[in-house]
Amino acid sequence: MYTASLRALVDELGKLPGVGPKSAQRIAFYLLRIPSEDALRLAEAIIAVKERTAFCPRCFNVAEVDELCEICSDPSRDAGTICVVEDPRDIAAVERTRRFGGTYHVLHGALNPLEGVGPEQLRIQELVSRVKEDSVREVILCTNPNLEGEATAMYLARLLGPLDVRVSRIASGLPVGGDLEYADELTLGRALEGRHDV
Amino acid sequence: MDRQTTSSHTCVERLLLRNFRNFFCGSFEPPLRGMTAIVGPNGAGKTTLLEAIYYAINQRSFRVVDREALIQTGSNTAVVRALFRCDDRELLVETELCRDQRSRLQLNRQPVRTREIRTLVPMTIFSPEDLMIVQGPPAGRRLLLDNALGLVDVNGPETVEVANRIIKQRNALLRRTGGHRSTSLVRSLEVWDEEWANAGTKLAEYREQLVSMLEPVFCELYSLYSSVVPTGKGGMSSSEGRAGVSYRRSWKGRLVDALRESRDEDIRRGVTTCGPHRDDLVLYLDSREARLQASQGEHRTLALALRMALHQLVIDRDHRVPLLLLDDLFSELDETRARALKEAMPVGQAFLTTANGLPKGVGVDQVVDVRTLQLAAADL
Repeated sequence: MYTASLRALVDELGKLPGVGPKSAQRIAFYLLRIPSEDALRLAEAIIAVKERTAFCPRCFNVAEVDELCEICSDPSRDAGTICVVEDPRDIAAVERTRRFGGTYHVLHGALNPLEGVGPEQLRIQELVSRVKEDSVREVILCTNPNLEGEATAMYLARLLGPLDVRVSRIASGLPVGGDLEYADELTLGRALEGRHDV
Repeated sequence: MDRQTTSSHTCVERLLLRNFRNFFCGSFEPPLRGMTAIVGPNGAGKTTLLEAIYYAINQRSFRVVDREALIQTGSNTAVVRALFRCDDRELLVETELCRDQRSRLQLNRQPVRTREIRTLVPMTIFSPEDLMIVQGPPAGRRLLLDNALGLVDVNGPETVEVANRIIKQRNALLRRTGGHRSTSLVRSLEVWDEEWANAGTKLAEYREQLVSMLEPVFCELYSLYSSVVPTGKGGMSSSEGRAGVSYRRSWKGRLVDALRESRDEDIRRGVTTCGPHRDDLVLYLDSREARLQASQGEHRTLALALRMALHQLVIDRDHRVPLLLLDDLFSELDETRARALKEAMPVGQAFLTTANGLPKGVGVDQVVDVRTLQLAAADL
C-alpha cells in the first residue's frame, strides 16, 4: 500500500513514546506534505542532537559532547550539595523552583527488577565516587514518590549512610493552592504524618 | 409494580442487553425493592441476567469464562447498559465488549475506570462457584478479604495494590539472580525486604482486623443458616455445627526478621517464601478445619455465610443495603429450609435464580420468566 520509504518512516515514528500506529501515519503524511526545507530541518535537528549531545561526565545531565553540563560548569553553583534525580527532565522541574543552588546527579532510572533495572544499570557507583572524592556535604534524594523511586532512595540512603555526608529525602504532601477535599487519602495521610510545628 | 424509590439501598432500575451471551436483545425493569425471582428452563439465560448486572459493575464475569464467550456467537460486540440508583444518585453504566479491541466503559456518558464503579455500586453475589472459596486454594480466600479491606480502612485497597507490586518486584529480583548469592544482591534485597515488611505487615493487620469484624457476624449467620440448610450428613444433626474463622499468618514475629531468616531459601528457590501472600483465611466447623472435614452442603453454607457476613458489614457501616445477586440459592433445599433462608435475607433489592421454580411457600416480591425479557425489536 505504501512505498518502502514511507513504510519505513511510519514504522520509525511508531516507535516513539506516545505515538501509536494511527499517529505515526498522520505524522508521516504531514512530513510528506510540508516543504522540503522544513522536513530537513527536523532531520538535521535529530542528527545534531545525536552527534553533539552526550551526558555530562560528572552528573550525567545532558551536555555538549566532551563538556561538563551547564550546571556543573557554572562556578556559582554549590558543588557541596547534590540533588539526585531519576531523569534529566527532573532537573528542569527542580530548576523551575529557583530554590536550589547546588548541583545534580542523574541516575537515569530507578530500581525496577521487573524491568531488569538493578543498581548496576543506574549511575550509582559514579554518585558514590563523587561523594567520596569531592567535598560533598549533603545529598538530597529527589527520586519520584512512587514504589520504585522510594526503593531507590532507600537503597541510596543505606549506601551513603556510612559516608560522612548528610542524606535527606524530599518531603511529600499537598500541592500548594489546592483544596484539601480534592487530595487523595494517601497524599493527605503523608501530609499529616509530615506535619511540623508552627 | 412497586416503583417507589428509597435511598437506603442500591438497586438496578433498568437493564438493557444486546448480543450478550444468548440475549439478542433484552430489557429488564425490576421492582426497586424486594426479592425478584428469575425463573425459566435450563439455558434460558437466568444466570446470564445476573452475569450482566455483575459485568456492568466489575467488568468481568463471576463465572470463570473467556471474555469472548460473553459475546453472542456471530456478533463482534456485546452491550450491557445498566441504570443503577444509589443514595438518590442515578448511575448509568454503559459497557461495550469487543472481540478484538478493548472494552469501552462509560459512567453517565463519561469514560471511567472499573474500580470507580465498584466503589459506587456496592453489590454482593453468591453463586455455585463460591464453593471454591471454601474448597479451593488460599488465593481465593485472600482475594475475598483483600476486596473488602476498604471496610477496615480507606487505605486498605491501596495497601493491597502496593503490596502486590512490591512482591512482584522482589520476586523478579530473586528470579534474575538464578540462585546465586552476592553482596550486591543482598544489598538490593534489603531494600525490597524493608518495603515488603512494611506493606506486608500492614496488609496482614488489615486482614486480621477485617476477620475480627467478620467473625461474630459470620458465626451467627452460619448457625442461622445451618439450622435450616441440610448439612448433608443424612439429616442427622450429630455435630453442633458451630462455625469459626481465623486468619493464619504464614510467618512468626516481625516480618522483617522472618525475611532475613528465610533469605537463603528465597535466593535458592528464586521466590519470596514468607509474607501475607502465603497467608490463609481458615474456616472451622466444630473446631476442625472445614476445608478438610466438612460435607459439600456445609461448605456451601459456609461460603454463603461468609458472603452474607461481608454484606452485613457493609450495611452496618454505610447504612445502606448493597445490591444482592443470588445464583441458584435454593438448589438442594427443601421448602421449609428455603423459606427460612429467604426470610433471613436483608431487605434491599435482590435477584435470585432458580431452575426448578420457587419452593412452595417462599414468598418473593416478583417472579419473572427470563424468556419474557427477550425483545424482538431493537430498542437500544
